[in-house]
Amino acid sequence: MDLEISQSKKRVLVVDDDVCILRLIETMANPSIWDITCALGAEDAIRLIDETGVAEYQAIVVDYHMPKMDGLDLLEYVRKKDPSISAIIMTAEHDVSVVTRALRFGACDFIHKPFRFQQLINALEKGVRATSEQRHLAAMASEVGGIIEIHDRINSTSNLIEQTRYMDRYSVALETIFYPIEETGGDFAHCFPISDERLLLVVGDVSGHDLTAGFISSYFRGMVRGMVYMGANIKTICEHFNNFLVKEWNGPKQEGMMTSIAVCFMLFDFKTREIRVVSQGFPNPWMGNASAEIQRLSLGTQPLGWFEDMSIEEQVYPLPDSGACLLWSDGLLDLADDLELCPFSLAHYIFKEEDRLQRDQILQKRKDDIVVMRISWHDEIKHVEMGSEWRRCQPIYLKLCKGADVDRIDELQASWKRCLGLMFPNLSDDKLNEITLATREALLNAMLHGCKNCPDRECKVQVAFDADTKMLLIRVDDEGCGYELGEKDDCCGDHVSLGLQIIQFYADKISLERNGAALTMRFDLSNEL
Amino acid sequence: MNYQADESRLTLRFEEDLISTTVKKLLVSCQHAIEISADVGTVVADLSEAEMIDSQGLNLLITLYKFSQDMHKEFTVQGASPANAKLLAFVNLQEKFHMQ
Repeated sequence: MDLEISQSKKRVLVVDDDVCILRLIETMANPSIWDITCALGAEDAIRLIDETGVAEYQAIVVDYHMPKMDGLDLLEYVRKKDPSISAIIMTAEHDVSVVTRALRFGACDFIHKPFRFQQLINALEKGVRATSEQRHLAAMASEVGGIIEIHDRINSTSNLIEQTRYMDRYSVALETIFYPIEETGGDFAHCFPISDERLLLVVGDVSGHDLTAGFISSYFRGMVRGMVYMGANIKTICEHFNNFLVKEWNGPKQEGMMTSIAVCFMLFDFKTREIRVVSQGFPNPWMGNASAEIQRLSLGTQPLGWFEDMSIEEQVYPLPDSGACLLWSDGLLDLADDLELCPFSLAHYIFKEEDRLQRDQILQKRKDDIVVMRISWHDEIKHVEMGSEWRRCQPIYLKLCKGADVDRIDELQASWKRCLGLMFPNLSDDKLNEITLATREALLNAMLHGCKNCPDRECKVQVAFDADTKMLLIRVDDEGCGYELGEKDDCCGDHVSLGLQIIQFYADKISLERNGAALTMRFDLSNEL
Repeated sequence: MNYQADESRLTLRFEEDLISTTVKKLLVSCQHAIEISADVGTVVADLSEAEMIDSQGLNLLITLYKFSQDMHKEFTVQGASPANAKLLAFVNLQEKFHMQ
């Protein structure tokens, strides 16, 4: 690599609006080492870059203070074209914000005007070397599929948020939270950005809370990292580690507990718009969309390490324009059960930044490690096209019930009221009652008229929340074929239309699908929260 | 639900929500109370302790209103919370129920 650099001239683009500076640099640079291209201002530089491409240059030197477009705006433009190129900023400014902005846009060095020529040459030598290394790494990564681990930093109580962009149009936010019960243990959550188009999430739980579990967990993560780096698919990784556990780790041992690992892999492909899921003994992942529909992904099978002839199945789901997925360990499910809360609501509550004290008190009641990973994405182009109607929703509540559960309506109502109260403690009693009542009416409609009280027909209450617009979406689905307005109730008359009137009265907006078999209510909470 | 009668009024005091799971039982008790209070001219539904009224609760009130009319009695509602009063106004029952 270094040999290659030393054998050819180092091509550098220098951008300044001062022609004297340009001439000075051009004259003083040794022509047998440096090939200097000068651009008089940002516009001239953009023209040159568009003509020849950034790859022609091994470094770029940019003056910060230029008319029309400053050096950092130009740098942003250049780095979008090629993030591996090193940039050196020349500036007379000593403003911290300029430095911060420059670093964010990838500047690798600063030269303060006035400067000695050797200072510039030193910075250029360093920059050219860095560019060469970056390009070499990028080529290697693209050859083998590429992997950079960004989530090796999970600690016991932090809520990590990664905001990334994929395919230049998908804005992706990733949040992970980990509350272990012991210092050592085997729960983990990792994100592997494989390329600009693909992102792999791995969440797992090794049996036990001891050093062995910690060791297996680390070994597994290292192996996943290595195999992904080599281009292996998820199924192969699972088969490989299952064989290791069954034949090598558990096999020869005749005493003590066997070790297994429950794990879920989710591969998000923003190019093919697919989500590939392999879940081995881990609680099912869930996906919510902008219409508040919540879908269970993958049926799940046994954990790795149990049997040699284990079937490993990959399931593929379409990736919606906007959505969110949740993965959680069974520690969260157990705690939600103990607290009589919906796991979606508990997860949403845990991710909230406020009420930390109360949150920690609630989490102290956990009996197992809690790992939750939440990824949400939305297509920014669609967002712009659809305007304010477009939603970036998080699923926050799900309740499944049967058509014959009419007698349980008070218990069901108490469930969503309790969850909404936990998630939105500032909600006024009146608003909470209005939401509760409208949801009750919708569910009664679904049970009585959609499902005709049948025990084998299912109704769903699904709730999503858009934190940007503070819009709460409540969707009630049933498996019936809809109903006619004016249908009579056997006890108290025309229930459907009266129920709908109540829903319309309380909800800010309602929409019906499938002849009323799916009803979505929108509640604007912007004045409440 | 409990009720109290004097010479002119029968007060039905609802101590629970008027919702789908309570209406059937309430209807029987209320109709019984109205039937045995033959001399009173007014039936009062006191909602001061009812936090929630759903569509079937509204139907209960309408059924009681009609039942009272059949028995030649006036039917009124009192003590509704602001939220419940808002709901009754929305379905145009305030005037019919002579809400106090």
